[in-house]
Amino acid sequence: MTKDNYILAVKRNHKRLFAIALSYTKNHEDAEDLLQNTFLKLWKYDKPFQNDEHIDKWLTRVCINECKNYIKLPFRKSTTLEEVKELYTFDNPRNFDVFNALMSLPRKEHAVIVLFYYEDLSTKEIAELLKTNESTVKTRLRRARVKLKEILGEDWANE
Amino acid sequence: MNKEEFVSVMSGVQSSDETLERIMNMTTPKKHFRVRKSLVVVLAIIMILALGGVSANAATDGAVAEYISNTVKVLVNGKETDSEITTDENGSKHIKINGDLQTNGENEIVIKNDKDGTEQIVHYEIQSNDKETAWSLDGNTYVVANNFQEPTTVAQK
Repeated sequence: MTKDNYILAVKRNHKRLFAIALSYTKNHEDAEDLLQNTFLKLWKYDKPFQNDEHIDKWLTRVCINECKNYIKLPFRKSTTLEEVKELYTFDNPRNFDVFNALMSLPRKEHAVIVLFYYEDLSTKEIAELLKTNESTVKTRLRRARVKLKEILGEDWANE
Repeated sequence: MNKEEFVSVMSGVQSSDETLERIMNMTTPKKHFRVRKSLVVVLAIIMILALGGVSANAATDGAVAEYISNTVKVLVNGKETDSEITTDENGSKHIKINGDLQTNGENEIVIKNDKDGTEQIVHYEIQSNDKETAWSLDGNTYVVANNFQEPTTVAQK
């Protein structure tokens, strides 16, 4: 991969991959490390990609794998509410509340929410990515929506 | 909640500019690395001779290789650790050590030569937790960062 293509891939993907990593780590610093690992693997990957879409899908898979390895490690610390306020910007208080509700979800449910709503993947695609079955994905999605509704007191679109 | 609203929520959530810059610059290998606090990194350190009695020309392939071939004792952040010296098929020397390296600030690594009693102190800030990656320092000696071990002790926050 050329340096230019690498830079373009980073610019195109860093935000969404960070969102995925954060859903697993619940910790800003560790999410940054996983993000870095993912892009380092991209830089070192020596086989050609078909197109940008191929690169983006590859990155998502690698990021997920990095996240799965991460959750096996001990001594994980979550980013606190105060830290969230300092680290990220939100257009309005509601967005802040939604983000914190997401961060309160269990990792696997949070990840499914990110992949479904942010990545716009179908439950089947998510199941393939996470190497699980579709019914498991649907269950996690349903549970996440119920919890978010309890916390935020609003309806979620049924997809 | 739909995709548009979700994207709006996450629009301000991203890694720091510093991290992004580091990612962009990863195409250029660097001599200093930072390691995640929860991982043990096996690090190979090559000492550049700057001790008393050693001439400026000592930092050559031959002198470094000879120094490395002597018995060494390694301390990482004050704790003695095992070390292994290997030579690859090209004659390049690697010193691999095990130690808990810290991400907050620099790590002090002391390499003591048991044969002549000299010691070399190196301060390292290490940033890599990918698999083995080697950077050549003088064409015959290499720094190798390699993490494949779960930590046996982890500093509590």
